[in-house]
Amino acid sequence: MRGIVRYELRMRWRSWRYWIVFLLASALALFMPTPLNYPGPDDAPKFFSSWWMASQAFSGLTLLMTLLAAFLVADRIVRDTTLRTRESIKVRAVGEAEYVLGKYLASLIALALIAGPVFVGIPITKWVITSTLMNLWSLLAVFLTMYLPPMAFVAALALTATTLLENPRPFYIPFAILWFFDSMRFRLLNSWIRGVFNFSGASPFQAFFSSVVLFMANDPQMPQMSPAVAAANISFLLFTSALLLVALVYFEKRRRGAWRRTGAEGR
Amino acid sequence: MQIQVENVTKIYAGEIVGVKDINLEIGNGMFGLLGPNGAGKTTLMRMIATLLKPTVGDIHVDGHSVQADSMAIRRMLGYLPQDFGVYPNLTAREFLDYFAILDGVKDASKRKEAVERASDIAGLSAVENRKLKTFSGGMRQRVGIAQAFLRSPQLLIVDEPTAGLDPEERIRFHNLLSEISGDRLVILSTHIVGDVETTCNDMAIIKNGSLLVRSTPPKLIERVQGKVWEVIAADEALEDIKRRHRVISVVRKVEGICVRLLAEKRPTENAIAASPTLEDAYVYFVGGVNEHVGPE
Repeated sequence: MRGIVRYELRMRWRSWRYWIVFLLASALALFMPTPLNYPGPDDAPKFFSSWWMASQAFSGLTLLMTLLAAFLVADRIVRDTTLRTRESIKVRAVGEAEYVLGKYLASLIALALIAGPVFVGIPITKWVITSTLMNLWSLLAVFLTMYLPPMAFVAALALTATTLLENPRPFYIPFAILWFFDSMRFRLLNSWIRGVFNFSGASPFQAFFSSVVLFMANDPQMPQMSPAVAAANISFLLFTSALLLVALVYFEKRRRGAWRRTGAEGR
Repeated sequence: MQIQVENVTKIYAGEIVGVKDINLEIGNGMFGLLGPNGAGKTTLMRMIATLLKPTVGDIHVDGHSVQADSMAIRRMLGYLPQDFGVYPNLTAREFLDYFAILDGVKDASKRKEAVERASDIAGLSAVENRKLKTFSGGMRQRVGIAQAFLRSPQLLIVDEPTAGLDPEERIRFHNLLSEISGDRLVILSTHIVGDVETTCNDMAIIKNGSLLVRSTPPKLIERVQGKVWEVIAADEALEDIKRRHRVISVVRKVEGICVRLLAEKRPTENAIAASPTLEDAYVYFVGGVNEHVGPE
């Protein structure tokens, strides 16, 4: 599987679409917790909190990437048909599970790497503004809880849906609508149902990070979220991702069987 | 290497018959499967390549059934599909390395060896570090041959490999296939008679899913000996000739229209017996250019 991941990543890096998203996402993530976005002198204390800077950077990045990730990942399996490599792959020894997981992991790694500039840019920003070192654990914790689970979910959803539809296009608009309603509830997570069933990264943000930043914890407008709900949200995203991938492997196996029986590709 | 196709029928969804009741035995060497578009060649190729399962009957490759033991067949198979595509952002070398990984070759040094050997066979060594998006159609077909050769297959199936290639590339491709056939079984599926004529020592013609004839190219040519004629005709006589005989080709020359046709006996007094080619034999068996001819 490592080989599949390596080459899928290589192909990803050689695509201009990936670099456009990379630059766009990096620019937004680096803008969010900097004085450019908070120019007033009263806001200066914010920059003393590593947790605040990390969660600000990743809330912007997650919001944008839950949309763009789907567009980046959607065609990863379907394009083997459009590029006409699929038939040559089907006669090889690779199994469906290895093939699907290789594509999925490569997509997830590519999405995770988009957060790379945040890990470099935010500590530098903090050093320049406050002459203090960044608490790197804050960046890692926010990345692992707020960014990665939604990415895992979106990548699995995009891969499965587009493979089932055999075309990425019918997926884009319904997904964009779903994303809009999901992300626009960012400030409205006032019930545990909404807290668990969302992929905006808002639940861990409110449960884990806003509470450790003093002025955010004291903000009456900030909805309260229990860590249990946030943990349930992360579990939901990871479990659903796994379920979608199992369904995708099953579908690929079944499709190979069906294709064999009916020869859907014609004579 | 031996392939046995036993009473094979393939019926697609909607009761469309791909091939019906085909029996065929193929041994080592270059085997040509000839037939018009939609004849069922690709269906038969895909069944041998384990991509499709027969609805009725079975195919055995060196004793392994496509129904029961497709993995064993895949291990000895190289396949160049009719519609072969590449990843444009990879170099030829990377593409082949990736496909070797998909073949299950985990050891990097073994993979390197396999890629170099396959590149060498397909004549890609000089361009293997170029991105595939810069390759011409002919060069891409070479990559197709190289990927089919990664496993040093005993059975190589190439489906319509010269479609879209320019004449020079076609000749180069024919030579390549002849060179690599050696002690292997190479099945060449095509609707281009010239491809089979120049490369194959054994062949079959298929039409409407059925096997029409199984022979060698010289024997097939022999069977139309004395049935191919050339007639110089006036413009106004052409329609009449077309109505009465199966016309293979029409060429305008200085002295009139030269019509090459099939007839059991001399069609006109000025007709000259022509030495037959495989194309004449193909037209004779398949039904020909103007199929609806009257009685001779």
